[in-house]
Amino acid sequence: MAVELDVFVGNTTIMDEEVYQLWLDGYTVNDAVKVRMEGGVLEEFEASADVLLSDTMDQYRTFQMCERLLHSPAKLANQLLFQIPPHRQAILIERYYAFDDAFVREVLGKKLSKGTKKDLDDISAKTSVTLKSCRRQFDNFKRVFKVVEELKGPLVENIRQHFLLSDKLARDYAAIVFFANNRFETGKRKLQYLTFQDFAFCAGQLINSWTIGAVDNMVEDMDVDLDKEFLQELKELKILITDKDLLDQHKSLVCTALRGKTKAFNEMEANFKNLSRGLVNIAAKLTNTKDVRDFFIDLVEKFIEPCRSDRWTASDMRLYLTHYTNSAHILDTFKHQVVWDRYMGVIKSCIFKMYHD
Amino acid sequence: MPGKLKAKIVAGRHLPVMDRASDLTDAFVEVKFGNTTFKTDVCPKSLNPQWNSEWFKFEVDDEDLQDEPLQITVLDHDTYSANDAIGKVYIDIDPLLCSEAASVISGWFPIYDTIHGIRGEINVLVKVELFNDLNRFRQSSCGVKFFCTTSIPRCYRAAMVHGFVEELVVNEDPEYQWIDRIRTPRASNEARQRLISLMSGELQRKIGLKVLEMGGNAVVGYLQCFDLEGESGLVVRAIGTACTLDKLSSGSAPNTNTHVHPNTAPASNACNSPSKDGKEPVFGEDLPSFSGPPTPFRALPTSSSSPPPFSPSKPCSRQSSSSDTDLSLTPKTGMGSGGSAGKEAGPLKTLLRQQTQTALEQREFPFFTLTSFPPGFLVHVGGVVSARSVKLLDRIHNPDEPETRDAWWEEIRQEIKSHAKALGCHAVVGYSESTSICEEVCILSASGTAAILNPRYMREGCLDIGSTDHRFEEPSPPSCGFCHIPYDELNMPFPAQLTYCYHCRRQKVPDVLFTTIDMPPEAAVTGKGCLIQARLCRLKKKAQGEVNATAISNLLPFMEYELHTQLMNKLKLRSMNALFGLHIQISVGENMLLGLASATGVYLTALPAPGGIQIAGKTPGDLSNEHHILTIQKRINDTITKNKELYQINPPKLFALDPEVFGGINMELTEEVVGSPIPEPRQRSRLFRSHSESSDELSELDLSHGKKDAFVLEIDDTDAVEDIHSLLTDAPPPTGFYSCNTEIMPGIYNWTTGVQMFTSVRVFRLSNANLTNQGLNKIFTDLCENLLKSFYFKLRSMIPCCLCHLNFTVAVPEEELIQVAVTAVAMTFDKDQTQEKPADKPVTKGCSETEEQLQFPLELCADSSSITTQTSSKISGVPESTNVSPRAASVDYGSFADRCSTWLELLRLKAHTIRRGSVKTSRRTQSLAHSVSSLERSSPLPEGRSRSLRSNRSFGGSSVPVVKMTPLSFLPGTRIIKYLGIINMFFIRETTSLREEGGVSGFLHSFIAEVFAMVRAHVAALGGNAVVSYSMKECVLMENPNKNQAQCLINVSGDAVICVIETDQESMPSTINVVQTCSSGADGAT
Repeated sequence: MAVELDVFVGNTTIMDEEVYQLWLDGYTVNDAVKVRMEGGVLEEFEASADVLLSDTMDQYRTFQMCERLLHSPAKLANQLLFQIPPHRQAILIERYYAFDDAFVREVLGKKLSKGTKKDLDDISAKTSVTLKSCRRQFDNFKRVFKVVEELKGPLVENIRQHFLLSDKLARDYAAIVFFANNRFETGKRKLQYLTFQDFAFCAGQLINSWTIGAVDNMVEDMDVDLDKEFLQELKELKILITDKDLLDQHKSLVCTALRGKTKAFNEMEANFKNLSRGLVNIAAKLTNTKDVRDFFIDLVEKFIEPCRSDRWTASDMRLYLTHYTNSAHILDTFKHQVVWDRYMGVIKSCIFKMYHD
Repeated sequence: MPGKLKAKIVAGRHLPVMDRASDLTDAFVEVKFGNTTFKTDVCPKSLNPQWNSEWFKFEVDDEDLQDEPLQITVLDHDTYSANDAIGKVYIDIDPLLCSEAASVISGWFPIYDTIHGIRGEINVLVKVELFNDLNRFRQSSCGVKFFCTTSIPRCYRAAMVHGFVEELVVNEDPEYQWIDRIRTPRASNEARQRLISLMSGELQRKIGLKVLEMGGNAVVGYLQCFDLEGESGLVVRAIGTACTLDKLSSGSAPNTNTHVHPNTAPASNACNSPSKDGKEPVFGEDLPSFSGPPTPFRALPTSSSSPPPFSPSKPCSRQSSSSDTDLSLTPKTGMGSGGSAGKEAGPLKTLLRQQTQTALEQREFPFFTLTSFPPGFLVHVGGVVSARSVKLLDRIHNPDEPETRDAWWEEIRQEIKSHAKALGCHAVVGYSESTSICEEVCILSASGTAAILNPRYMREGCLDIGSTDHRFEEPSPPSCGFCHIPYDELNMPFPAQLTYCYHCRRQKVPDVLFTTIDMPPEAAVTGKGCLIQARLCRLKKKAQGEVNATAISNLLPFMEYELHTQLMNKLKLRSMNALFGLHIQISVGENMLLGLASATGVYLTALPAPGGIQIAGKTPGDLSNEHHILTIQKRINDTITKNKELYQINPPKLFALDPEVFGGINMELTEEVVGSPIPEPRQRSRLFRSHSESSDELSELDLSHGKKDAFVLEIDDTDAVEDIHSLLTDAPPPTGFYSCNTEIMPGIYNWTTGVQMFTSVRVFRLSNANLTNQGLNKIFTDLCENLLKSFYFKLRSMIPCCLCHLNFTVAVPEEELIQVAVTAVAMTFDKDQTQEKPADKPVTKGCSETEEQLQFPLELCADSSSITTQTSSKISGVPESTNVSPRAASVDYGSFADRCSTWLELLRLKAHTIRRGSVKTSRRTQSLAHSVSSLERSSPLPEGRSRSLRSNRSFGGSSVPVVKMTPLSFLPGTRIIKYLGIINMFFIRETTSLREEGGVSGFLHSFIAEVFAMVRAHVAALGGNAVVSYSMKECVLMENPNKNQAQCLINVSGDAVICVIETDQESMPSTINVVQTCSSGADGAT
């Protein structure tokens, strides 16, 4: 008893979404058959294990043949080999480019190089995502990175059009590309509590406000590189902490506004100078690439951790930052309102997002 | 210079990287036709080159236009070394030669390489300008249309059916020429592909010439096959049915045939009289020439027609339709021993079938490759006729005179013809031919269904089928006519058991009917049909030459016998009485023969109810054995009951009838029986005799089934036990699934638009060298059953659905390998309606017809013979058939018991079928009238519609147009508005990196997907959106895993069509065109 050859080819390509997921997740054919059996397809349909094996093999082969096309999804729509209805094509692509949060958290901000690829088995062991699936996800990141690197125009839009992804997924990829390009440190222990979605949100903020693209939308890499001029201008903000008068004035304005509105008022008043120094120093240092990489760890160390130890609530944080930002406008000697807004707008929303357990 | 071919190369895309250094390609294109070649410029460094070439013009004979394909080769330019070929596209330009088909070929074609598969795509434009040719001695046959479809294509009507055309051409196989030793595999494959393309072109042209000679303009049911005879050559042969087709204006065209898948309940019009009041009374004048069913056809033949074809020396030979007589060897001379049957049957002449006879006898072979017919065409069906012959191949010395092969087929056809005559039939329908080759041995097979046809369709000048089909409907015996025996009942060619038709009760019908055709659409069926397969393996000793051929010849009759027995048993087990679409394939390997018979079983309401199956022990008295028998018997009975439920076969329920009607009909029955030429007493005596012969359980059996007949199986050895087990192992399809091998599933009418065509191939390696026949049988049966199970599982998302046209092909590619290839289509249907239907049918009929019946019984009794056919059709129906069953039961009993006693007789029985027509007849008439009116409404737009479809497609941006494929002649829910030409493609794929391509499965998987892609691309380029009557004729796989090599040849064919979504014509007649355009556009764009 040996089936030497067993194929089934439909004019419309038959694809089972469950099997596709198993394939994407890196299951071997035999493991996939086991999973399917446990899933109860058999009882539902009085089929034998042989039938399931044969079906799984067929589908795996189909997916393997499709994989080449999925690498440049636009091809999937005008290739002739497989007749796949458009909505199915969309599902295939979306799922192929989907990733595990646990995995992406591990490689976020790392260089998408061969070196990282070699570490994938460790990551696989740590995240219990199969190595095969890790490779696929990593290669997807790399592929998207390579393609958009050379393109002009908005990053998210480029990814969406080139890889035919949904808006949400395209934004996530934009974040991944952005992080990989700027090599933000995300792996430190203190940052472990942050999810990929936290970072993706922050990336979105940075892309929207701090990159060259925010001012000029026809340059290459407009959305992946931070606006150098802006970073330079940020140094000017130092006056807020170096000028003693300005600092005091700022503090009193904020405290007046906050008084009686929060239980944490005393801590806020006591820590104002520290916190303000923290934020402004982060701004002033961003011209150094090294400090850009440490942007998130600095935010956590210099601002989020002190606040957390003082048991600020999320609304305390909101209140404080709003007034902190707005009060600077009233300072008559402070001339850098535009830069300040551009800086604080991002900082505010990032901190709001990152301020959780 | 009667033709100018123009080609333009537009662009390429997705080309492979040919230059490793730059990761790019410098592509250019060679366009070749005949001996003329043009080249485009090189488009440097691009994987998506834009050539936008000038128009390349070829001035050629139309003969060449028919034979030659346009050959497009994409190459990578290399300054220093030879240019590398990327791949090729062969475009068959035949569709452009026919004014009614496509006018331009334009689209993306996959660039195909026999080693690498598809490598990118190329956009090409092709046009043909034909000049009028007045040369009467011309060699071309441009303009003759070819259809793979085995029925009259949907937008045509048959003005005349001329009959059988056949041709074969032979050549040396390039793979076996000396030059093959020194050329690359690629060159060799391409030489072969090109040769076969040329040969099929030539073949088609020659057949076209024959058609023109006969005065026809089309070939329907065109069946082309390749015989790869290895060393001795390559044969391409084709058969078909020549017709004169008239194009209906496309607005209404398809309606002539839409009755095949009607959406209206068949029962609803049951009591309408079959449209005597018809819209076109004019046609009444044609009636006289057609002799109604009753008298003339019953006349006796003068000479004895007792079964001469069976020589007594061969007790195991089958019915006249089997071919044991011609299993002779024809070694070198090519002279067969000829069918003794043919000679004996020759002098047979029936007296009174003058018109038909003369019409048909002018033809050498009154054969028709059609499997479904215009209404009224088929008068009676006799049964399956088949012939096989074993030949030894030798080199074809002179390819221009392929006399040997011609002679072989001639012989077989003669035999078929004589078999048909023995069945009292003058024609053979559903005719097909096939071969199985292993080394130098070749089995030639032909089969068909003996039938009597309405001569009208074969004579000039009196035909107008398309618009007037109901005219023939009327005089012909309503729906059951085709099941009435064509032969004389006193001199039957084989001892079949006859009863009066359960539908019209005027003519005799057999108890079982086997046919190779599709079920006539108007046939009345009880319940649903199902796929029935008989599978068989027989070991044989390895041998050479004549010894081998003799061994095979000797095995064949036994195989046919067993296949037939299996079919019969399985049919009974499902409580059915007729088989349609019967196809028996016998494949030869080095050390075994495989037999696979597939058919669709149904319960024809016009035929008697089948009996059960009874098990009998050979040695009574053995208690344990008897117990065993009892258990098996019980299992069988249970299975029968289960199957009846499953297939909704429940005629007994109709016993609950108005007693008055019951009585009336009974009276009629008695009279008929008394007057019948088969006297009842004789039946009785037979019945008693057989009763005494069979075991005591018989009575039990009868009670459990409520039937009086039984089919006895004797268990005398382990073989028999095995057989019975295998009988019971066939698993029914899971809930929600039905399967059949015919065009449509009897009993399902409400198809929805879900369609999934698929091809599946399995190869099984027999590991055990010491296999027994039983072991092999089991393996083979499991292989087939598992395949079916796989299909059900894979297609589970389509439930409720039916697998239609399940076409199994078996082969023994190597010793110890069994290959099964299946092509079929899964179609969804509306479950709710189906459930309604069976219930609906009897009920409506019950109430509407009972009334009428109440009025008629007395009349019937008084003078049953004088009643017009029309009345008989009126009273026909389910209630009637139930009434008959008591009587029929007794008759049947006799028949079966009798048959059991002599297996030989059983063998000789070939079956017959019945349909109940009155119901659907009237419905069809309606739809016809309907179609006429819709024609008027929608006629102005035939061209416009297709154009808009096309433009929609091209504006659809980059997305690829959807091309649906189906082995059926239609797509449910759509109407075919145009046939664009035949698709007949041959591909070879070879690999020297089998492991890297995923083993032999991966290799074949991608090849089949590539073949589909190429078919779709060609259809789309012709402007079509579907392929109908698709089939994979050949799938030859050779592998050598040790050398990491494999090669595969695939031949596919079908008809490219444009179809539009069928809208409800009643509700929106004026907007219909708009709607269809939109929907088709949408369809094309998706």
